[in-house]
Amino acid sequence: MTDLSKILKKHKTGWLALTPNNEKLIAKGKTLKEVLKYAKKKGVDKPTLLKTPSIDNYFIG
Amino acid sequence: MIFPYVKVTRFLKYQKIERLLPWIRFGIYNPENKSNILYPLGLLDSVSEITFIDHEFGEELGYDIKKGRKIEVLGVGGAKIDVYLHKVGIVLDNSGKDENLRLEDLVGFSYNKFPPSMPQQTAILGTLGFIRHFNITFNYPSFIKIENKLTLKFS
Repeated sequence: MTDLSKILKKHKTGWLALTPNNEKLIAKGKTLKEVLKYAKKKGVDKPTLLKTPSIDNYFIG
Repeated sequence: MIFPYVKVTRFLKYQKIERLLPWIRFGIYNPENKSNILYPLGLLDSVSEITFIDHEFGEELGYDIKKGRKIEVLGVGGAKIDVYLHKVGIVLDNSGKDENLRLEDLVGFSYNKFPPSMPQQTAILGTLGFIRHFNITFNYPSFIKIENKLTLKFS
């Protein structure tokens, strides 16, 4: 299991870049382009990319 | 190829509720430039008929998004969003532990927020564009297993 609960609790808007194993936050930004740029500056070429979700609803399809 | 479930947390009236969701990392690329791959974290959604992704990925991969065929996606409770279909490459790559799985299929890019019934705003992996290419096992809460479809040969 991958635990993103702490990261998602802290960051409720915008884009996030995570390490390729999805365990650590590398960068956050207002746009995808911005987080890609920040991740690359930190030496991560293939970050996992996530637009912060709405998790206040149960998913039924 | 095995993927773990992802734990997210929400707060309802000060009560902490943890949920495990089938979010997986996958690669997407424009077949005209296979070397530029982006890796969204998307919801594997067995009831979505199509795969759709936030428009910023399409722009970053060089698509002229509005040139694609526009279709309307309907969700639970009548929520609807417009998506523009394009041919997209998808790759599953778990850091060399297994052989990569690749496909090219139609995927929609959307400028709209995804319907509120979907706990995701990045990507929804549905039947067209993803699920129809694989055998997928949901072993909740342990893992999701994704394999190439078996081809049976009869002699």
